[in-house]
Amino acid sequence: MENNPHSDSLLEKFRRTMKYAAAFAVIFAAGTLSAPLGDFAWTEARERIGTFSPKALERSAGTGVALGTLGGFRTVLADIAWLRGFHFWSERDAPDCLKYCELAMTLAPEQLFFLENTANYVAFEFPVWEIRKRGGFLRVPESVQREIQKKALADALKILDDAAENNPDEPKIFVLAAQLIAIKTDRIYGAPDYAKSAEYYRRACELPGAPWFAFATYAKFVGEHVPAERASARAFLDKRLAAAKTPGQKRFFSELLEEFLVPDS
Amino acid sequence: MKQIPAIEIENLTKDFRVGIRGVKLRAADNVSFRVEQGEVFGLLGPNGSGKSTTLKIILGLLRPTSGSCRIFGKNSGDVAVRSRIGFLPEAPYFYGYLSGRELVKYYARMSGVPAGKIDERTADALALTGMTDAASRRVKTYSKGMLQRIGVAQAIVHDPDLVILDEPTAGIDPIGSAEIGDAIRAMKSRGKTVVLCSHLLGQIEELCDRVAIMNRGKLVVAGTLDEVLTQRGKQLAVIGAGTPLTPDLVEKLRERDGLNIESVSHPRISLERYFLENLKNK
Amino acid sequence: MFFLKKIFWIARNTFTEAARQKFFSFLLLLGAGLTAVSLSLTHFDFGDSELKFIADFGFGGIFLFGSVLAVVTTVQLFFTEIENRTALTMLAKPVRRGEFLFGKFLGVWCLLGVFVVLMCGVLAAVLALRAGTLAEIAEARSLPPPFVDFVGLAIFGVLQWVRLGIVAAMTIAVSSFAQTYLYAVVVSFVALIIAQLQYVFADFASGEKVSFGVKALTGTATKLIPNLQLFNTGEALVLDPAGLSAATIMSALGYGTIWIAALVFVGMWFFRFREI
Repeated sequence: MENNPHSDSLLEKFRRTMKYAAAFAVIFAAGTLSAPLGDFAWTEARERIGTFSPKALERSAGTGVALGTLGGFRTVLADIAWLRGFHFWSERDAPDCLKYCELAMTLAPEQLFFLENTANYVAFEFPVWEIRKRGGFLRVPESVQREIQKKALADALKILDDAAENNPDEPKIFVLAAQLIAIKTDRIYGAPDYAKSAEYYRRACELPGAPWFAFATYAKFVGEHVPAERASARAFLDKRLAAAKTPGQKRFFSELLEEFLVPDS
Repeated sequence: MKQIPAIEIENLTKDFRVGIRGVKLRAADNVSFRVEQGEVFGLLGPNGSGKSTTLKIILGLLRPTSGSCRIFGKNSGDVAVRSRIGFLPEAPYFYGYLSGRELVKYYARMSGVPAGKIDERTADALALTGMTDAASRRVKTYSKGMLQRIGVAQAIVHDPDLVILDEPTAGIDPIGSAEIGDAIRAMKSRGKTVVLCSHLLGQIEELCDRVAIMNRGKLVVAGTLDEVLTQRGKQLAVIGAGTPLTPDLVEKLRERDGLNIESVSHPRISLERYFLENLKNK
Repeated sequence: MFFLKKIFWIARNTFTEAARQKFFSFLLLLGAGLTAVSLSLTHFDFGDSELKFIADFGFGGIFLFGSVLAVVTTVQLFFTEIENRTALTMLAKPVRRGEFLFGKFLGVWCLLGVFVVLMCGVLAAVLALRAGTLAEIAEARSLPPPFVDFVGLAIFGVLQWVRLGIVAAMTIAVSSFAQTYLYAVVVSFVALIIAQLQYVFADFASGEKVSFGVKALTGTATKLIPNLQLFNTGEALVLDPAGLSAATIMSALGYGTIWIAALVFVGMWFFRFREI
């Protein structure tokens, strides 16, 4: 055998290029031809399988989400991520704890356990760790502590808002947000932000499957603390009363209206 | 009427592209030779001489860059013509989980042997290669020599007209090697054409009617063993027994008529010597 | 008809060879064992139903081990055969390269079918066992019994078989031009992960903020990659009473079939030019 230094002829190069171009064309044609079928199937499948939202992917990129995308084992991987996050919780390591909590939420976005606990960690535990890290409750000025607490509330609410965006039919997320606002603002400002909390309760109540206590708390908060919202709340609960199917439900809504939302005389 | 050659190669050239720059490596360079039907043909050459490339082109596994290769008058790329060819590659690797019999049957099916004749042909091929006793064992338990023999069996199971054997006796003991030699002679006696690639030059010399020798992609020589090995520039005198052959006598023999010379021929060297003398420094 | 016979025998031989390999038994035992063991791991679950936790193990086992089987076995039975010259003896017979490659693919696909059937069988047994216990508990508390759809599980099995068929076809296409074993395996796995994330590219391409050039580029890229998440519908089919519409199932099967055909064709196309 001997080496021939001559380079390939133009024809040979063209043939080689055409070989790859033809393969590309076949795959592209298959992609185009199958797209209507794929799009049709994907529309229903996507709703049912809980794909990762782009935001969730952004948050958790590089932390094992690729494993989850392999399809399956998502529940168990989420559980493992949660356990890892819990390890960092026990070490008071907020950034790492949050990272694994978010990974668990990304892998199993339908599991409210992860969401509820992550929101609670962020709202209640993280600010305490932060204040302790800066010297403790006695040494950190009140104003700084308040800012830390306000940021914690905003961060926790963002987690819940993002989750609500991806699970718009889940009333429990809005209930969680409403409860968190009430408790947290009470601690920060000395009184709960009833208006904001009531707004979240209302959103929960507008969804099927909302717990009865959400209606009751909404009616109580609006009736006792948010006069501007009373007319709207009354109209909303009147509609629910009209739509009630059982005597028990009718009695429940009637009592709410009578107790908290009697029209001003 | 002249018979169509079993193999007819004309001006065959094969280039391979090497590396991302596409530098060409010429594996076969303008090679031409013919293999007639019914003969045993030896294809020789050192490693890297282009033998395997030529064989692959004959088998239709590679396309020539230029030139032509015809098998029984048909283009070697024609799939149908391969039902007339049997091939044993060098150091074959077969499906180890099959038994020898299953393996040969599988290849018989692939070669288009009719379903009703598969068992019979398989038994014949196993018997011819001396593998009947080991036919029920899994191929992965075979020794190197047994692998070669089962390789020969799969190559001949469909009773091909042309059998190509690449190093058929590699790793086989002398007895097994002699048995394969007998099998080749048996094939020749049945009118089959055999192409034999081997480094055992003694075996080639013993079995082949004609040889072609390749070196660095080029054909060095092709012809009958007599044509290749006979030294035409010299003569050989065979003197009868009892004749005192002294230098004086030789002188006198030159001057006198009436010599007692039984035959005169050209001296012939061994194939091995030819191989070494012609190829070692090229 | 001879060509069909040849394809059949190549496929059968490939299947037998693969099924007798320890690798197949190992992955099957691992996957099935994991699914069975999930019964005793439900204590580690946080909030989901037990059946979902068990099913998730099964679904994960089918796809993860099935994908490993699809990639490694295909490379082993196709690429390695070219590499160690077994293919030489086969292609020296009156066998076209296309027939050889298609037979190899069918053999691997049949093996994947057996894998999916056995894994789904184990999953069905485990789900039935646990669902029976949970139903008794539910009955004692006057609650509705847990829902498991075994017909849905069978449909899911078919969808997984098609999905793994796409993976095997991708691997065949890659192996047809790969020069090393490692290259064939690594590129096939990368292609698999990209195909799992295809919908992310599609979302990006349909985004409003993306420029026209980037949109065109990503849009084209999504046409070159199958969406394997499409087949990830186990939960809906097995644990959700609403199930999945027949139109969606049929569309997914059609989608997979088109991709398998195209990828096998590309494999044949490259293999046609391959110098072996």
